[in-house]
Amino acid sequence: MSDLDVQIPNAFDPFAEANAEDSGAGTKEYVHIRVQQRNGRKSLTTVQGLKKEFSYNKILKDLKKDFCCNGTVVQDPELGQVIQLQGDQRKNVSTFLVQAGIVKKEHIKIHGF
Amino acid sequence: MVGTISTIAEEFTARTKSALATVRTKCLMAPSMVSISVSSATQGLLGRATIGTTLLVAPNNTGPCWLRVYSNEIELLMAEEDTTVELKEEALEISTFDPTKKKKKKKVSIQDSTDEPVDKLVEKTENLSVSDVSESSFAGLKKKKKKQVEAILSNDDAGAGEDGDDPIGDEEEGEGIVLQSQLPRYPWEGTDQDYVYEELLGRVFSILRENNPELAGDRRRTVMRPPQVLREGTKKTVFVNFMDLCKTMHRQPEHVMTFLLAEMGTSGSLDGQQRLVVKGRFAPKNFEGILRRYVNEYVICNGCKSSDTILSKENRLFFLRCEQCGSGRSVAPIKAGFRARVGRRNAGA
Repeated sequence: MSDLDVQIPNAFDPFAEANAEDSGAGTKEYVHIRVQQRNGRKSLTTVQGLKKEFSYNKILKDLKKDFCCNGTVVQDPELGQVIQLQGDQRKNVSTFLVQAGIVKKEHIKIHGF
Repeated sequence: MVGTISTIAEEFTARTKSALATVRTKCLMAPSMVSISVSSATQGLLGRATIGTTLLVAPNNTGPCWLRVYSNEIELLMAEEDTTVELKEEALEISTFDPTKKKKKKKVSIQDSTDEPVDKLVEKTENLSVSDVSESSFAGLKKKKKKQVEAILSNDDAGAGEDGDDPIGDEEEGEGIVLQSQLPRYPWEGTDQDYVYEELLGRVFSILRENNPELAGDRRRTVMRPPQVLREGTKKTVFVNFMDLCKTMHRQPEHVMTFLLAEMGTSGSLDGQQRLVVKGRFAPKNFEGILRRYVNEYVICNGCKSSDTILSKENRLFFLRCEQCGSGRSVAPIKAGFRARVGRRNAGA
């Protein structure tokens, strides 16, 4: 007969989830950065879910200049405007968006492999 | 300790009066013959356990409550207000033990035992060191253990007989045994000083690790085999052990597939041998990364990190429920997102 066993909840923060949900507040606020494969070793980066107030074309212009790549703004019937960039620019885009203060880091979701 | 325990013939009911209460009840029923169900006033049934297990009950919006069941005592820790613990016998007969022998017992403070005469203690430790060993394997040793307990009882108060005409005395001996059985192994033997919390915690875990390591809370990492990937032609990739991995995760292959395809931004399908064929060129490392994300999001329980979970769909929403700790959470639906037009465009498009 061993004596009593008290399992103390370890480093688990009971409020972490609530806070996370608060900041998440519906998946709609996430900015999704995806990558897509093209032929060969080429790829394509898409940025979806930026706020409507921003001028997509101006952002795109800076992105293009910074990463030395081409890109375009695509009008999607469901998702609104989506920025497309040539090449795998996921890391670049997320750092750019955070540094420019367009999106908070928690709101960026990077997809792909 | 706060709480009362009432005994009704073959049934026990322990009820906590306030939050953070600890209820400890003692019974002399044969091990593994009872089932315990815990319920609270607000939540209803919280969980069940059988003897020899720890039941962690974590209701959604209240503090967790632990129910530790020893071979012949039950402990309810940190329960919510008005939590009821109910014991029911499952077996038909309790064999040699009289139902009248069952006792209710409040927690005895640790210092009590030090007052007892030394020679008795030595005797007890000798007796109990054996039963301590036997505790490590709960199954199959019931009979032996019972006999030992009997022997001890008859040793201590000779002539007490079967009915337990001196229940309080019995209890005290029992508690003494519990405590003394630990002593010879530890440095704080014989000293009068109070235990520090860390000390007690370490002790509990060392005991737990010795006797049933699976409860000690060591993170058993769920090991998954690495994905095996083949190239089909130059433009397609075949994920060979896709089905195996789905089985180890206990997830529907369709669900995993939609997630993989959505993340990779391609299309794909299952072929005749239940392998996943994906359009595009991907390295095993890529699959691994995505599967890792899948496991984090749709398999692992947030509370206890166990992978023993069930994903169920309740009116259009996916919920993850943990089989280990009973907690649940909702998970985000898989959305494919924007897919850019890649490849040749037809004149019409």
